[in-house]
Amino acid sequence: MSIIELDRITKSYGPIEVLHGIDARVDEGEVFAIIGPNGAGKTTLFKVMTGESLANAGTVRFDGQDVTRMPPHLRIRAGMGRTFQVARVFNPLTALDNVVTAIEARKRAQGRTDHAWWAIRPSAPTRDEAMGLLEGVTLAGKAKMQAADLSHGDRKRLELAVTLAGRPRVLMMDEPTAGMSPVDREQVSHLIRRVMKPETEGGLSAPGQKLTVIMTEHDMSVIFGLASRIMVMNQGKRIALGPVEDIRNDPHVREVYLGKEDQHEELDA
Amino acid sequence: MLFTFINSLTLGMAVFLVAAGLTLIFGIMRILNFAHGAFFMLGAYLTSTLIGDMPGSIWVLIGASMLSGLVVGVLGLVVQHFVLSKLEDVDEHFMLIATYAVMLLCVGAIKMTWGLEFHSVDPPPGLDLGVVIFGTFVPSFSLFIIGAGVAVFLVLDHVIHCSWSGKLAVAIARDGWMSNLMGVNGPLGVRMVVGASFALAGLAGGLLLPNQTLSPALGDTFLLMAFITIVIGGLGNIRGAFIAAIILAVIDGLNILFLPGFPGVLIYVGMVTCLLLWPNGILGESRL
Amino acid sequence: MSSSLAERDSRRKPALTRPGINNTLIALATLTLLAMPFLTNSGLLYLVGTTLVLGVYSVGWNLLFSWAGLASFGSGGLFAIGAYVSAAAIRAGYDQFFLLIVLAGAGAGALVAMLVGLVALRRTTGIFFAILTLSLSELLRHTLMHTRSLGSEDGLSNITRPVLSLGVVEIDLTSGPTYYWFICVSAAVILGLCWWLTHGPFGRRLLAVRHDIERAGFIGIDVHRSRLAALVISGAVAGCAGAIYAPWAQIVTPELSGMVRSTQPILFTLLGGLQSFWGPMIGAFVFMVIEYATRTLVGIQEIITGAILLAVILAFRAGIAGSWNALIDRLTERRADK
Ligand SMILES: Nc1ncnc2c1ncn2[C@@H]1O[C@H](COP(=O)(O)OP(=O)(O)OP(=O)(O)O)[C@@H](O)[C@H]1O
Ligand SMILES: [Mg+2]
Repeated sequence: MSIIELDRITKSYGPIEVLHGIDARVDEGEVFAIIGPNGAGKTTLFKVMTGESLANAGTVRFDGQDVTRMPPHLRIRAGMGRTFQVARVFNPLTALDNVVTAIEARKRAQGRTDHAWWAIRPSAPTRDEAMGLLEGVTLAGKAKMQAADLSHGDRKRLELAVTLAGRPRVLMMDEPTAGMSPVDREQVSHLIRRVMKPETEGGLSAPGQKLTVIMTEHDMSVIFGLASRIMVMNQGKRIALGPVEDIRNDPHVREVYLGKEDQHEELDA
Repeated sequence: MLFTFINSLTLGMAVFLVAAGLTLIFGIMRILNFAHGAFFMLGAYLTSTLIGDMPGSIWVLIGASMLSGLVVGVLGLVVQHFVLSKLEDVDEHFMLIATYAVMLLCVGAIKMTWGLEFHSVDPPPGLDLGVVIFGTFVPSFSLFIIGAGVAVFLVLDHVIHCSWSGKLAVAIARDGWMSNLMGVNGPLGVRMVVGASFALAGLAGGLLLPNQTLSPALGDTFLLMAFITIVIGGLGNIRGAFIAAIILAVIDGLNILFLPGFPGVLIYVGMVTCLLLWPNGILGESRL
Repeated sequence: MSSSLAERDSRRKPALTRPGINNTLIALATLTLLAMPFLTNSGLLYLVGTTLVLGVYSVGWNLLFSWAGLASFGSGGLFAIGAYVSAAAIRAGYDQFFLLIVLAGAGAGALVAMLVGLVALRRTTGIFFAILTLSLSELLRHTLMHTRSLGSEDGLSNITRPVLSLGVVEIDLTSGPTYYWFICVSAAVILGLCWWLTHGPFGRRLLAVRHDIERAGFIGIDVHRSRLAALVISGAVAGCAGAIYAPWAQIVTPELSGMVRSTQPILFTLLGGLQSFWGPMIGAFVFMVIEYATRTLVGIQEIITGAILLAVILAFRAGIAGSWNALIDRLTERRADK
């Protein structure tokens, strides 16, 4: 079953059209990667899916429901989650409060606020869940630190914990490893794999949840290690979509990447 | 009725004279200069000291105004050097409050130097009478202000859009980094514009001096009207400010004709309406 | 570094902690304020009471600024609305219901703030919000100035201080000291409410919105509603403060809606400390002292105020509260190091 359906998405910035009718279906439970050269329109497509900006034409469906014009906070409440290319966390709050705030927002939206109306501190279940998530991203030791004082890598992990706190059904990550060292990249890949696994098997997914991941990425090794299907974009068009192996051997894709020897090699790797 | 509108247009152009400098400095530094009104007032006080209660002729008035403009412009450079340039990279609210502080300093200095009494200055000979147009008596000083407003607008518009220095300023306002790269001296350009903006405030103060009651509260009234003008016209947009000044004049005229019990109220109503219809001003926000 | 801090913490808690010191100071300040009627003459008492009211009003403004990230330049208008509601109701002879009148003032402030927010927050931000609020309060001032039933430019004067009737007991607030204590009690209640709001889930939500409004939407926060709520609360505080102020000053004028009143909270907050709950209150009292000390010197007052503001902005942006906390932190850390 498709959890996200994109139907002839068109998007222009002023007079310039940057997405020319993109079609795609993402299946529940898969890791769906979007690749393409710089300026292909990956981030733009992301923005259209999450509601950061609106498509000029076409429809976005989430779990069968038309969400094309829905504002971001409602999409999040419906089950989307998103991280940013440059991690965005809430600097004035501690790491713990970052996650707590996200959990409280989720519970509020579901009408399941569980702290007493007069209480200032988060409820015990909220706190425990938040600590659990921080542990999951190996930040438990820095729970009391101000988010502003965290290192680049820690902020990225905190952002992931904050996003997971919303219990998303679809997790969208725009270049999760951008600007990272190879070691850090490996760690992030590992984390994403854990996110996909249910808690019972040492993962981070809530039980009974089937997480879908959509990601854009420039690092091919990360993609090949994680993705089940890949969509290739170039100049605002979809030029290929299919399982990893098919994409590697697709002549059209090779042509697009031909100018870039290193990437060409990566395709072969 | 024509009389009412000429009066309102005079007010509109007077406000434009103040707003011109305000929108200029917004265009280049993205700041809303609360101190502008105070420096406008300083220009007025300086001019009044230079010419006394009875200016000898229209040229004495203009000359004294220009001199005051020059002095205020230099003061503006001082403010730019010691305050504004230090705050470029911090939260915009700090800049706003810093200009408010500079305003307090300036008002304080004026109060200390000239005291709290009201002064008033007569128009110079030649501007103290009036002419009759279409059977309506029009004070010639009104015509002088309208003329001054139009002249300042034309000069500014020409400088900004046609001359080399104007284009330089525009380039800096658009993209400071880029103009640095091209070898254009960014800080020099910024200083030029800031100086010009303050000088305009001083000049406006001098030109509008006659027929005003000079008191330390004068700045506030004009400042607020000028704020409204540049917001309606589009922040940083000199043509927008000019058009907005005329619109304000029309609104004010209508106010006097149809709502005489509540002078000055319609302007605010108009401004709020404009803001809601065109959040970026009639001609759009402009980086100069 | 954090783990070493944690270790140090668990090994030996320093005898003096920052919250400990600060709470002691707050308690001392509260006692001093309560004892004021015995310590000063009526002129000074009036000044202290006014400052307390303005401090509360500024805390409400700062709730909007430091928590929701919105700088209003028109809060004076909301203060004026509360003050006029209170003045008109008392002059109409309803003074025994004064508590209700204060609530009505708060309600009026909240209602107007909500109307403004419904229109303004959807479309305008930053500078536009500043100018829009500034113009709306000016609009109110001009309207008040020309409304004869509200006293035009002279405003409403001869506002008597009320005698509260609470069913069985009557509380006479007509004398200076009793009304002053009434101000203290109301200030405590309002500040308590604000403290509670800003330090709970709502406060966390607002901080998230202030820091990154888009990101806040992406964790499912309805940012528009949160900011509107902050605006309404801050409007209620302003209205409430205005309603309490009217019988204290015994006169209300259109100038309450002017730029001076609207910019006061900004100055107080900045001097006292941004992002600090008590900052505006501290700033209000420091300003009071400065103004009082320079009251006879024409022009000097503005120059000193302006110079202090500039110094704060250019040299220590954390304000008094921020610098104080940093100092205490440094001192206690040094003690713990030994
Ligand atoms: N806000 C904007 N206004 C105008 N044009 C934009 C805007 N954002 C992106 N573009 C243009 O749209 C095109 C697609 O940009 P997009 O950021 O989606 O590419 P991308 O595939 O994410 O690239 P990268 O790999 O560099 O992140 C580019 O040509 C870009 O210049
Ligand atoms: Mg991108």
